[in-house]
Amino acid sequence: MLLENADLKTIEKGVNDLNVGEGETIMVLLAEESANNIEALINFFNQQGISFFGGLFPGLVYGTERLEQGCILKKFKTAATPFLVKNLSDKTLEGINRIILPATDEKMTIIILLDGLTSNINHFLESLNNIIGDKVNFIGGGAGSGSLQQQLCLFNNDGFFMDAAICCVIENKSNLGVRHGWKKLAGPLVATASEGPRIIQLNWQNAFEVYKSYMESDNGKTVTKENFLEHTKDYPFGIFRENADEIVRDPIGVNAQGDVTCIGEVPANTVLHILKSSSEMLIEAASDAMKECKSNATEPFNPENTFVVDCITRPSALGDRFSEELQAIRNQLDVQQPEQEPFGILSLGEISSYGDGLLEFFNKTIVVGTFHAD
Amino acid sequence: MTDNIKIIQDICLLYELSLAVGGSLDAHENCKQFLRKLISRKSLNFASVWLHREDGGDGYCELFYITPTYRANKRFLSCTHPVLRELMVKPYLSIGNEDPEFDSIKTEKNVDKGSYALFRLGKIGILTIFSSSKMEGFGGIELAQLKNVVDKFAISLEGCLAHGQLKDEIDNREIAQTRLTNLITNLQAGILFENEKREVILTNQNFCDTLNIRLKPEQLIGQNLVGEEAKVKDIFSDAEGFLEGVDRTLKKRELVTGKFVELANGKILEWDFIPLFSGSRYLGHLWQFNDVTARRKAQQVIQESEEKYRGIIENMELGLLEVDLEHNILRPYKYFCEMLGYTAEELIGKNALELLVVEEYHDKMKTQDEIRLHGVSSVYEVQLKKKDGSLMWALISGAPINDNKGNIVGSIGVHYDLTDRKRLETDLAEAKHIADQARQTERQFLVNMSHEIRTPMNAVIGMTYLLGESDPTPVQKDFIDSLRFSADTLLGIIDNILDFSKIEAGELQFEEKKFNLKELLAALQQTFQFKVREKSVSVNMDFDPEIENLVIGDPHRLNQILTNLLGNASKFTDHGSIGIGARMLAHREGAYEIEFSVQDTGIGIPPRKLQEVFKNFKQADPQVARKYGGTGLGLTIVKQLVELQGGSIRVESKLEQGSTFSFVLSFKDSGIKISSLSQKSVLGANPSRHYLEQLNILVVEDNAMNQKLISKILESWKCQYEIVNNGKKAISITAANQYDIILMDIHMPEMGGVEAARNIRQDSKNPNQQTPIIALTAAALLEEKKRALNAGMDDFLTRPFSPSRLEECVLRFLGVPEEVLETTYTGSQDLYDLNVKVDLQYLFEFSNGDHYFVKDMVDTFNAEMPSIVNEINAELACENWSNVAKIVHKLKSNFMMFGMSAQHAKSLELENMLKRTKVDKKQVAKKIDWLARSIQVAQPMLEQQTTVL
Repeated sequence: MLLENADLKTIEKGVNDLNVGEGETIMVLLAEESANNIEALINFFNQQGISFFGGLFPGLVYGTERLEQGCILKKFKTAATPFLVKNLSDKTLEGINRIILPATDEKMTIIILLDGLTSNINHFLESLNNIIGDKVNFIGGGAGSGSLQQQLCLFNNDGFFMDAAICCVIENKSNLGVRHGWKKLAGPLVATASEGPRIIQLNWQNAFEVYKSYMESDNGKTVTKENFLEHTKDYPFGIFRENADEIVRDPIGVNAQGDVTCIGEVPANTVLHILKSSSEMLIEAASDAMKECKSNATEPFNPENTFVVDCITRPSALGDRFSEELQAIRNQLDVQQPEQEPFGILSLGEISSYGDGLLEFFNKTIVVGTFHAD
Repeated sequence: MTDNIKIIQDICLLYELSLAVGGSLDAHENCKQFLRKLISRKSLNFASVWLHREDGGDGYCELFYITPTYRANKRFLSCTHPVLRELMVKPYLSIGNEDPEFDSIKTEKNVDKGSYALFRLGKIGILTIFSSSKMEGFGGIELAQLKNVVDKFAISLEGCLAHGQLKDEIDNREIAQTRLTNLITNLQAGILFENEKREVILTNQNFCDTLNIRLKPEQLIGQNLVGEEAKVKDIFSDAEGFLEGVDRTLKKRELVTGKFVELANGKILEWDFIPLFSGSRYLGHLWQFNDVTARRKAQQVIQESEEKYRGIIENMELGLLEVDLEHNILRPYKYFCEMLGYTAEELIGKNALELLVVEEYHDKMKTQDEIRLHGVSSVYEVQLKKKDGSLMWALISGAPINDNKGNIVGSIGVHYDLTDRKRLETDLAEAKHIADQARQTERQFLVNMSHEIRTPMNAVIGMTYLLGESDPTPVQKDFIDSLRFSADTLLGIIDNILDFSKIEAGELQFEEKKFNLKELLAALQQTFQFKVREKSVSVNMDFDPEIENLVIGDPHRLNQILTNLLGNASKFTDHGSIGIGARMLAHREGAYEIEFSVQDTGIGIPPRKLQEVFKNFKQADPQVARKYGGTGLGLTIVKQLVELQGGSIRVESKLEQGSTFSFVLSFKDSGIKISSLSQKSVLGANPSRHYLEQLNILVVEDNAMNQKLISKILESWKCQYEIVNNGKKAISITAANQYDIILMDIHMPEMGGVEAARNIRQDSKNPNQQTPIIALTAAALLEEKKRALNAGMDDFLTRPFSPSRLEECVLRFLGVPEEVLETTYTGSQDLYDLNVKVDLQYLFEFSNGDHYFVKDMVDTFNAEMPSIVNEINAELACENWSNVAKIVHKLKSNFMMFGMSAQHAKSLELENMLKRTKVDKKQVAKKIDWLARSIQVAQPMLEQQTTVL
């Protein structure tokens, strides 16, 4: 359910209209600009005794629209109350040892919303993956502000959090498609020094200088630390994987020393390429992701919901043509009811099981998940 | 992609992978970093490291690390597996899902299609990787590239493992060292550990404290104690001797334990020396010192204490003897020897059972042996043989002796000479026997006396009864009444004496039978009202209507109690009233708790005498006794009878105002309503008569008077009977004739009733072997009754008995239904319900006070009534209702004349019933019976009133 006006009363009415029953949970996807009074929202759900979880995102998508404001409410039948893992950046990840997971099987899907600007995300995903295994599909993305400043961005019945993850086991089978549409421009380069998401050196030289030289040689423009983001949106890094798509890392900042910071970790000595794409390739990637969903389906393809996790950088890369990416997805769906409209988030990092179930944190990627009734 | 770029990419990737090796000294962390990088960059599904383990054979590989961990499944791979064998000679292998070995090498979850690659990790194990996207195995170049990185990883991992092992060893050694140090430090003993050169390796605070060394243990470590002997010279009381001993011990290098040394300050230390060798190499030695001063002192105290108690035991007049399990004497104590006249030497080793115990007690001793084997102590008495041949009684307290493992190895007995006490016991037993005999004689005298008195009394009372039936003249009737009164009084005195004897002997038994309490009280009221007719005293009854049901208990004894109390009341009351009451205190658990009271307005009892009235042979005032008579046993018996039934009695009294005796007794509730029992039979129509008429009875009785009396009764029954006058004759006559019942006197010449009964019962040819035999006797003691019943008699009828009592007893033995008996003997006693009152006022008024007229009317009424009652019963039997109505009408006017208002009302009711078209015969019969019985009760009352006139 899309609520273009996300004031509390409208949300309350929307929730009431959803007629939430026993064992059901509401997912609240809230556009950053519409996040007025999260505490009141939490109070409302607690007073009603309704289980819920959600996050703030730089934008939302619904049908073929990108939304800067508003709210999407989705009701799911859940196997258990959504669980919260706090202090993701704490490398001991003690929080994950305290959660009691419900029994999962292939008829379930886990939605993960996490603070996209925190560190240690890969470690968290790997731990979660090891605990839950590969019988169940994972889909989700990073919440947070488009300003790329870390802030409170996740909420559930227990409160409003940052540096955290919320996972919800929904009783829907799912099919996933993951694509980014970026191709190698230059490389290989080796991140000879790095710390978490910060690349300090490339090929034993200042990371910014090396990166800048590749961009400048491709587009003939001068890249400075000041206009850094104007250029980097077109030249992300790709972590090299043999026989597979690169894992994209999106540079989002440079400091005075020339360290380049990405969304997501870049371990030391990682082999990287500088990637480049075009609008057509990006739109085609979205279409391919949806096709992958369909091809993975073992039964007649008639999803109840289609959840789109689209990187926040993709609309800026696509500009006016962004709606075409969404259209490419919608075109492959037989939308009969408003509930079947593709919905989703513009995310700070995308999460999906990959290949045989390995959980990965992507950038500049589009993840499509179709949820099916049992 | 050009080859160059591919090569550069490969090199970069290998560079990245190789830099992921050795990131940590921890083997697990090293595996984690490398394998994660490997699966991520090579797009693998999982990777694992297996380490080789020895098992005495070919060994096996155990899973050491896998990522992602959820893939883990099997944890062991045998080294005999063909793939692993091949890997021993090749550095790596690729196994695709088409390969025959694919399935057997599959050790992870959810593996379907794809390829494994296995690398040898030097000598320590193998590394496996799996890719589901490779169907036909990994390429040779790819594996060759990876081999270099994997080899580095193997070396690095080997280093990590070696490091880990070393670290573990160091840790373990440190732990062991710490434990040892802690152990020694915390030991309660003083420890000194020296090396061969006598340098201190380890010691503890206890060592310093025990030997008064004023240094800390840490300060001693490393010091060489050779040549330091001089410093310790002041410590020991005999330092030179101790140091010489130390030198010898150090030279011998042998284990020494349990040695003692005394310090100059008086402390006693126990020391041990433990040499320590590693193989043949001498490492040093350990000294252990324990302060045993307190223990040694305690031992000394125990030793002294033992001496003391040994002295006490030796001097006590108790003979102690220790024997083994076969009774062989191990240790005879001094006094035991003295008791039996032996020396210890003469006893040791001998068998106590054979030598000392009188033979008839051997079995008893064997029983004691069995008890003792179960570890149980016991006390018993046996006779022992002394050396001089005389016998001695001994009280023995025997207990098992245990060895240090708890096994029973013998027993110890404490012997006490009982001979004198036994002698005393024998004397006492003899005295008791004599006393018992005397008591028995006394009791027999009582039995005889009661028999001797009761037998003629029976005749007197019986004959008086018969005389009363023989239509005497009024003067004769007066004589008869006096005779009856005297006989009753005499019998009462005898009964009291007998009851008292029974109570004293604990032989009194209480019956449990249903009875109508209300009726019992009403009869007493009537009786005593009659007794006090010559005084201006009224006898009133107050019965609590809450007592709705028949009660179960002993009516005879209750009657006796109340008769006694009422007797006293009537004796001591000349004016006013006597009250008899029964009040329900509680009704619970199927029982009534009833308070009975007898009150009078008599002379009263002085306060100081109140407590004495219940004592034997006591009367409140000797003058009273002289004036009023009595044995002084009455109230004693009353009190005993109440208390034996679980009740208590009390008395309140005021001089010249009267006394109240009250007692509380509990009676079971029969559940039968009093009201439902009234008027069950019709007068004269005794339903049991036809049973009696058919009987053939044998009477065995020697007393001529009693013979006459019983003949009279049996004649009234219209039955056949024969009388013989002793037991012998009874035996011969019963052998020839069959009787329905035998009534047998107990005391008879030639052969008594008990012997005769036994004879009849034992003779199977006697046709009367099963015939009921009822004992008739004046002897009323329980013992007598027991003898009679044991001889085979069936019941016991105590003289004097009434004809109806005999009748009831006989009928019970003839199997007459209970309801018939109840009808006959319960209904006829239902006096109270009759509510008979007479009042001659009307006749006096009618005749203007003509006494003769009134008396004439009464006499006429009394004379006519039996025939009228017979007449009405005859008409009732024929259901001739108009004639019945006529007679009732006549009766009704009679009742009115004599002031019998209840009977008048009942007649009116009856008349109305008889007017109905359908008459209820049963109801009419009940009412007629009620009226007839009322007439019976009214007759003496009317007579009494006219006598008073």
